[in-house]
Amino acid sequence: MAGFTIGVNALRTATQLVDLAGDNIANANTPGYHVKRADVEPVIGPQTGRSLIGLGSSVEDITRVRNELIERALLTHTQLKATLDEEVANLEHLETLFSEPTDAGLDVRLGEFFDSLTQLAANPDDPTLKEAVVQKAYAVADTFNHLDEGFDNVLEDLRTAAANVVEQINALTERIATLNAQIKLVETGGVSAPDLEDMRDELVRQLAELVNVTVYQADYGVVNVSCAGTLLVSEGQSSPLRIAEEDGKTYVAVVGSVGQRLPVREGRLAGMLEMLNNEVPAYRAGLDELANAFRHAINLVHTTALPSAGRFHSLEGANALLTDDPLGSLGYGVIEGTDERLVINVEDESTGDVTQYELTLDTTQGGATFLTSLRDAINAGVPHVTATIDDGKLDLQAEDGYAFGFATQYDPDPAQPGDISAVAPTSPAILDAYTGATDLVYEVTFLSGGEVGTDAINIQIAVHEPGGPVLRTITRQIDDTYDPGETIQLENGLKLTLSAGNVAAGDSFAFTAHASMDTAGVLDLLGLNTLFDGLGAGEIAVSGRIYQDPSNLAGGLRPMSGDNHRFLDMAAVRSSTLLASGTATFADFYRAEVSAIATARNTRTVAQQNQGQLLQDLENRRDSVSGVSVDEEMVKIMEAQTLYKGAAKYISAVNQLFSYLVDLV
Amino acid sequence: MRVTQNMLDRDLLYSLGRNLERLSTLNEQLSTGQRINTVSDDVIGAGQVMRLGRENDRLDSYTANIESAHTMLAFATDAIQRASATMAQIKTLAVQGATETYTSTERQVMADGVDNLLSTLISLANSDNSGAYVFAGEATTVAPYAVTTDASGNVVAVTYQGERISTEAAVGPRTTTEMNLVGESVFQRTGHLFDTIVQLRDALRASDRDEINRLIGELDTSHTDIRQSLGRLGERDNQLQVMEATLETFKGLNDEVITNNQGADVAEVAVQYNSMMALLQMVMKVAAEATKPSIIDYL
Repeated sequence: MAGFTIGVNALRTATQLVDLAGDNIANANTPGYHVKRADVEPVIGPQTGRSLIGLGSSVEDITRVRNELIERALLTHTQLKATLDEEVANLEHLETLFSEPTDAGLDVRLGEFFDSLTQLAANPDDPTLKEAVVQKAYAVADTFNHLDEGFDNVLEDLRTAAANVVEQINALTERIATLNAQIKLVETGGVSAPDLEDMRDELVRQLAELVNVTVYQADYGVVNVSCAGTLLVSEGQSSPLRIAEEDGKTYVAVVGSVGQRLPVREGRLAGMLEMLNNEVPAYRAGLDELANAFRHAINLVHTTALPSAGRFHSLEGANALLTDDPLGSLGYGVIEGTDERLVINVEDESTGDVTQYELTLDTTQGGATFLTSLRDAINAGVPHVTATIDDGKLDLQAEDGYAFGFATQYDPDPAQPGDISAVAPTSPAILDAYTGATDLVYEVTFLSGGEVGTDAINIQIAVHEPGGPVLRTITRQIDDTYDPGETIQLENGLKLTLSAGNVAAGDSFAFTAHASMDTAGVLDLLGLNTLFDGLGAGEIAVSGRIYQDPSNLAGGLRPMSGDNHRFLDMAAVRSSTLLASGTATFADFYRAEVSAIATARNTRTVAQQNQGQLLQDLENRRDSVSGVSVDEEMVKIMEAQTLYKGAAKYISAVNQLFSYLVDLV
Repeated sequence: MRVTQNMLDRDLLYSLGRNLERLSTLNEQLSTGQRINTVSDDVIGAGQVMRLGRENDRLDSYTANIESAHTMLAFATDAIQRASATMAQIKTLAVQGATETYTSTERQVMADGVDNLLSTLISLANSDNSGAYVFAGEATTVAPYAVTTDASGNVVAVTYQGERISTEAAVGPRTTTEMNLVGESVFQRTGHLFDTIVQLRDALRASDRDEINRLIGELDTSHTDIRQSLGRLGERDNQLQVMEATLETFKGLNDEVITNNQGADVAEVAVQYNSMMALLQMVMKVAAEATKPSIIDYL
């Protein structure tokens, strides 16, 4: 009779069951804990006679209750949610950087700059308004710089964070490998190691938040963890990762491997790399494009304008061309061509007479070569102006008594000595802004002679492109109602005036009106008479000579205090669609950029919320299977109590039986 | 389904979190009074708010230009009115000088009077408004009328040396106005103002009554020029006022759209806030009081 053995086995089983229930209750809130169940099996006894009575029960193993499908789904969605969490947080940060729609954003700064130009155009000689324009220009540049710095910080933070995440991943895989080894040790002994497995699986879950992982179940409770096909944990071995940079992109590789990138697809690390390599650089490139287009467009106008002080005696280039990189690749938006023009006006200050010199430029050359050939072309072809190169920068210097400029599109006093052959000749003058789209030559011929303001004089103006056939002929007549000095309308904004004096029939003169004084935009490249200097959002700044002395702000075509044509042109730049293949103004482009960030954030936030809800459901489903129900455990305890009570009674009964026997002896 | 404590706790925390999130959004709207606080609150609305906001700033710069044009016009009108009054005085002297009853000595006195008035006229035509000559066209730093005198200091000729074109500035999306005036077209539209007066002075000195009578006609022509200029400037001032009112209307319309887009309906948000608050309190109360009854209570 095995009475006591059965009783003792039953008592042991009952206490173990109570202990297990207690353990379960104690871990009800432990993250990653799965409720454990005892594997109670009968103890096979020796055969006595023909019957086989067992030796009671014993707890053979303790295992976790878990549903593999739910666990896998949880792992997958943890990765997805973590990716979105990271991306949403970064996009939120970027959106804050732009701080729209407030009074502190670039939108307002750009608007204020153009508004201040509109106001300056009304009083082009007002020093207060000039100062205001320079301050607004400074605010625009400063906001660009500030945004660029913000992008720098975001990228730097992301790089640091990615490096930290990689360290965390390495720490996690190492611990997972260690736990694998321990689990294997226990399970080769034939029993489960549920607590170790829970600990390890919780670490795998934490790993899944950081990077996409796939879990492969191996023998003896061991799991192998791989990321995109590369094993991070293989039984007791872990492969650490490292972070590396190549071509400005950050990637992750296994330590020891050469150049093999790990295609990280999900998890916080994936979110960071996506931001770091794609999203943030794309937004940043958009901002740089905006800054460059803005600088270029404003400078194209400003470089070909005159300050109220009139033409220049000297100008120093702000930008150095030290290498022979092609001009078109430098980022200054120079148009490449072998027949580009730069027109330089040289004024003899003693007579006020202006002569135009047209230089043909080859902008397909490399930077330094171009600079040298431009210097030589100026020194050879433009009298009274000397060009020198100082540290890759072009300096222009006028002789005493002479001044130069790039503004007036025509020779304002076109008649050369002898053109008007009459005694006491009248002097013709050309006025105002030329609005034509191409260069045109105007040949003015007086068909009849006489005294200006007294006699009837017929004027014929033949218009042709340089070297081309006559396109059209305009005729004008003046008579005794003409007041010497009155304006005679020509075309394309040009006006002719004749001073008191005489002309002879057949007298004629000609002048060329230039649509652009600098067809390739080389003045912006060289930094001559620019309002803004510097490439990209990070470097853009108000040119030093204007910041220090706002009276250098240039807005006239002619050296005339009330000439505001270039200020008007600059203010009009606001409405030109220069970006997005000619469909967007600066403001449109900027708002599209800000909207893109906000939309990206919103789309991802919705996805993030959905993933959150899904994860929540999955966690509930897991807890429904694997969670600890305190009620359930209490019932288990009660059951075990009953078992214990019964076993105790049984032992007492067996004891009674034995005592009868003892009494007999 | 098997229900465990953790599931209930998680559900409670999740819905509490969602409610608090909504409460914080409403709170931000209430405290700023704005429905759009970042672009992502309403991407399209925010774009519109930004665009119209800048449009209004731009309209403000036009209004500033109109103010500036008003000031210039007021200044010019004042100068021209004084010129007109001076012309009336010159004419009175001319009419007296043409009368037989005055002696040639008296005409010398009248001539001196005309000479003084001529100086007044020249200085009026050369008026500068805080440094900028108003009647010089674009050449705002050059006195528009240059005076030639003979050896004894008499004015013999007054020539216009200002520009024939004036500075145009924007006062509306497609409207510009002159920010300074071309003296010639103000004072010498059809007549020869200064020449006439110089001739009148000389005729008075010479007691040439026929010439004086002829010059009275010329004076009238010039006076009409000046009066017409006054009328034109007045008309332009009126147009600017209309423009200003139009800009104000545009601004008002834009503001309305901005407010509709960006402004939070405070009453509505407050009601939502209160109901959210009540809901939250209820959830908390239920959570605190009605935790799941457990078997432990019955053991």
